[in-house]
Amino acid sequence: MSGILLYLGLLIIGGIFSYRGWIHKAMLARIDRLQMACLFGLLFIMGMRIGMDDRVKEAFLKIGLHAVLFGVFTVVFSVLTVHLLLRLIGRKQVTK
Amino acid sequence: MTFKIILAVVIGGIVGLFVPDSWYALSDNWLTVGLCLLLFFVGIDIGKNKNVLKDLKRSGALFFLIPIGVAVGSLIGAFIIGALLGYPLHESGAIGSGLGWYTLSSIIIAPYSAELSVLAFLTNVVREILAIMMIPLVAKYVGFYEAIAPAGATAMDTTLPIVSRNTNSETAVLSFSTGLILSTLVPILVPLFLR
Repeated sequence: MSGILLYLGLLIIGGIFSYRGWIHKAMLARIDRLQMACLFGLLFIMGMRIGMDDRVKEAFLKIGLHAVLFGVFTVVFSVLTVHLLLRLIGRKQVTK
Repeated sequence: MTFKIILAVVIGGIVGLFVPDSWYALSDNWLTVGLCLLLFFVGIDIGKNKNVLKDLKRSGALFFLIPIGVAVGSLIGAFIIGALLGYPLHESGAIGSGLGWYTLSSIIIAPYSAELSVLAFLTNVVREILAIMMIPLVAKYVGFYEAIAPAGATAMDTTLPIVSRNTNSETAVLSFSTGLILSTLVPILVPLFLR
């Protein structure tokens, strides 16, 4: 719970600083790159943890297929349910 | 973009095979620091848009509707595939209730069954990887709000920049609130199914 509060707090602080114009223009111009650098760093660490975890490596061979199927079904039905609910309330579609 | 993301995970996985075990505990701190920085930067990105508060007010019912849709959809999906694979209803429900938060859901399930705990862990790792790949596609071909759905609980942290990059500022704000609500639901729903 403390993690969630920390993340929420930092998001709000970043938002307020930026909204109020307290962030230097040079940093604002590089914010996309900074986000991507953090994201790739996190993905690398996530991958590293998977590679280090013997439990995960062994289990992947044994029940990996079930996990993939559960993953696919939960993702697909999440998208479908949200899509149906949005249609139910008549929300207009927004796409690129 | 998707290729680079997968490459980062794969390279990390290969590196993980050769680094000392002590790095595993250290990586907890790296993840926390990285996530803190990332969320601060995402906040700055959202705050750049001066219309963000207007966008949020306009979202209205979506604030609750999207997380409800994601949670219900995840459970329906887990029940269906669980029934096809021969899992009891409550075990499928516990796996579906992980909502993408692989560390917490597997820890909660661990005392109940080690195998189910690993399955929950892997399912939610797969979900996160699928989310990373699917968010740009769902945003392009289905809709911005639907693009939040694959992310589940990670919509507020690791997958938030991907949602933000592929949608708009209003959806990015909704993505965070959705992740927040779903993260709160995980420690409630998982034990509920295992009772």
